[in-house]
Amino acid sequence: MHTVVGIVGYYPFLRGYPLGPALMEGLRTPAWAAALDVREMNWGPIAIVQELQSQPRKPDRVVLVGAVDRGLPADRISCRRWAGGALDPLAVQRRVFEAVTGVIHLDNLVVIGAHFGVWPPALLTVEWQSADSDVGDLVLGEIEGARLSGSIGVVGDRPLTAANRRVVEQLVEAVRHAALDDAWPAAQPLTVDQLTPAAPVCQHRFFDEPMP
Amino acid sequence: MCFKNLPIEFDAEGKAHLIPGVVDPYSYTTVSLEERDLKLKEIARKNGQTRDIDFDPVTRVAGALAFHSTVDLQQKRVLDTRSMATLFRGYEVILRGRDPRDAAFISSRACGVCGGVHSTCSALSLEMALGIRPPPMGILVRNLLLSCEYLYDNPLHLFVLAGPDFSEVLVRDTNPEVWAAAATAPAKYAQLHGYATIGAIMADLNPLTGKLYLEALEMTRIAREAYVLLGGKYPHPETIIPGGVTTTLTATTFSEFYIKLSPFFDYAKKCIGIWDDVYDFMYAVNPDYRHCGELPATMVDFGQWDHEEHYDGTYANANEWGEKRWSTPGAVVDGQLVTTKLRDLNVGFEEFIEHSYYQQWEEQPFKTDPMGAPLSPNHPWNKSTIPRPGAQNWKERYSWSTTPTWDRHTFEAGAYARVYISALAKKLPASDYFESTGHSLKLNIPKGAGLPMLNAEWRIPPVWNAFERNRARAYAVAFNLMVTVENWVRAMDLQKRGETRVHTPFEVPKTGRYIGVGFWGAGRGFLGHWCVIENGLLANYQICTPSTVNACPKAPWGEAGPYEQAVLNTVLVESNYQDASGFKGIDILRAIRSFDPCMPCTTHVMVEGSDRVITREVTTCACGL
Repeated sequence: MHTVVGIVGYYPFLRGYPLGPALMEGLRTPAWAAALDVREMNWGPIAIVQELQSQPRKPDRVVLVGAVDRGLPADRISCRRWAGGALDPLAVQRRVFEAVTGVIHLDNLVVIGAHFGVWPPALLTVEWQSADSDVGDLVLGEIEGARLSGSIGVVGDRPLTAANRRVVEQLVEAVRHAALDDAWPAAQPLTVDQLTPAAPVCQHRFFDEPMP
Repeated sequence: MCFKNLPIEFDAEGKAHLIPGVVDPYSYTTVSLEERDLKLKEIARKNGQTRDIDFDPVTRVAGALAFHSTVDLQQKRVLDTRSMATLFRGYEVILRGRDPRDAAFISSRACGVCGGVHSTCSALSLEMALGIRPPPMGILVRNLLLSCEYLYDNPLHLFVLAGPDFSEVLVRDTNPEVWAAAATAPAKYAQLHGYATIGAIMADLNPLTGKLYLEALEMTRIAREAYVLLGGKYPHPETIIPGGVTTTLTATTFSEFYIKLSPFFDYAKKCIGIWDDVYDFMYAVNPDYRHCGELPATMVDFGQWDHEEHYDGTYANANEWGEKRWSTPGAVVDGQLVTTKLRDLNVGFEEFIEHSYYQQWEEQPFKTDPMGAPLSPNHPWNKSTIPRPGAQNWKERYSWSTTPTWDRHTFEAGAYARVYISALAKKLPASDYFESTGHSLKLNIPKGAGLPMLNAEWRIPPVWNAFERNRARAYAVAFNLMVTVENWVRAMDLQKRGETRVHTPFEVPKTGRYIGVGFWGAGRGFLGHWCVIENGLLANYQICTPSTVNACPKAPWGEAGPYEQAVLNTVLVESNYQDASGFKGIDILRAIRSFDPCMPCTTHVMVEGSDRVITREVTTCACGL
């Protein structure tokens, strides 16, 4: 059984402290995770697709973990089973376009990977509904002196808060179930029409109307 | 005398100095953009067909570019434009105070597409500052690595980013009359690409499903694999350092590298045939396409691919080793080549921040360059990056990009610039594979698996526009390839002679002040890294990327940046719309995309709250396709 776990999207994890590295650490430490192939997937989906295509051993199961906005209560963690749906090539291309603009998003990776047929039937997502998706306050080395002297205050560059630690623990536990349980076909399905849409190519507005 | 606007002249020995008697030599007049804004509003009130069209983000470009335009849909003209880099980069701030040896590794993260060029540019900058001369093999390996990046970058742009704009799906949707003509128009270069009609080419340019689109994705993979053979890792190689590279190379490595290159012999010919056919057809079907992204040909390029017998890394000899590069440095102003000397390019370069979210710096530590030539207060060696976030205001500040100029001209950067300048300058070193004629670039592309040898020739076009940028980029694939072959042969010769040393050791002095500049080029053109080392640490580090050059906001004196002006000059040929809601803006997007925008170079890591707080975590952009 070859199971790949991919951590997708550093952006939503940046508030206060990047959870991604902590999550990676959390997934590499436990004995039960030894059999898993845990990877960073904070890259363009095409590169990830090509990497998976080039590997002789295809994964039997893939678990993608990241933050997405499904309109759920904040901090809800859910596991879904990719159930697919009709993939319109132009809609897929819009996601490629968006990915190329620098957006790293779990949904884009799911769709682009599905288009190129790299996913096994067992593709699962572990999704964290983050409270916000802003980039957090992190600090630059040279201003640490100013911070220590109290002349400026910054929020970041500090250990995980207790709340963040709990999120990491819950995500690790959810990944454990998704990666190892045989009950994955019973997971809630995720279909194309439930995904976050790609950004529109072109916005129109009348002169002097406020920016959308 | 290359400078027409800056008050700099040269003495009989060629030494630059300020023209005597000029009281404030680097002063300039700042014009308000408010008047223009009011005029546009007046036009809008009178003309119900005037619309603001925003492209945010502009897709199929890498990064955070937003573009604002005001168009008159009735007259099919663009009335006003603003190019916005919507994120802050901040590597200049991140690098300040660090050990200079970190610079190549950290600055590499400025872009995930061009993930090696920043390393090399940084290494060049430190080599100049610290007097390091790499061994010949180190120089050649750097050249080969650079070629791989270009062989990856240019096809990606041609077929995956800009190519879909010329695909059946897009053309049929925006200009049905063009598609109708294309469907039966014979392709002139069918022997190079195998397509009988333009319509068949356009069908295979269709995104995700077209064979040309998919083939380009595969070619980018091959180019990256070739890179990894020599560089160990891509993007962000850890093998490029000041003084050369750190890889262990054998004859087998070079043989494997050549095998990876082989598919490009036919692919380069195909790129030329495809894009010659498509653009010749577009001109024929509607001559107004000549105005798409049209600009006077004003461009600057530092040249790339150092000659291992000439490069010594010094600023004093930069003019000489620069002109021996396998693509020639230079500045072209309105189609005229005005210099090919790297020191002239450096002395004439400035960055302005009047319409950018930065604060003006006060100090000018360097009045002259190391050869005594005058330097502007706005030169990168004098510049400090001081972020000043604020609300978007079209009349004042609206971009995180600065406005780079050369001799007070905004200018273009691109793969096409190295083709254009190399062709015009007639200074390329002798090679069996390419030749500059002064008006063209001749390329002898060897026989491939399926196609015979091709003698191709890129000629300087009578108009300079979006299509010619892309066409030159298609020829750049072949140019890159032939430079690669030239350098591969040289590397093999060195290997046979046992000259396999790839690195020169160096120490960073713990005291004293040293300055350097890396003159290099990304896949998208012009790239400079300027460093100031003081007492063993980086006192200043400035990066100027091609997308900063191309996506810049207006100059203080009102001159538009290249994107802005190119779109302003674009005639809207799009026909299949009734009103603003059906307008796709395809001509505007073609104009912007012809510059191969890559905004992670121009923009990066976020600021929040304070204008001094910047993320320490250096993440690459996500666009590492």
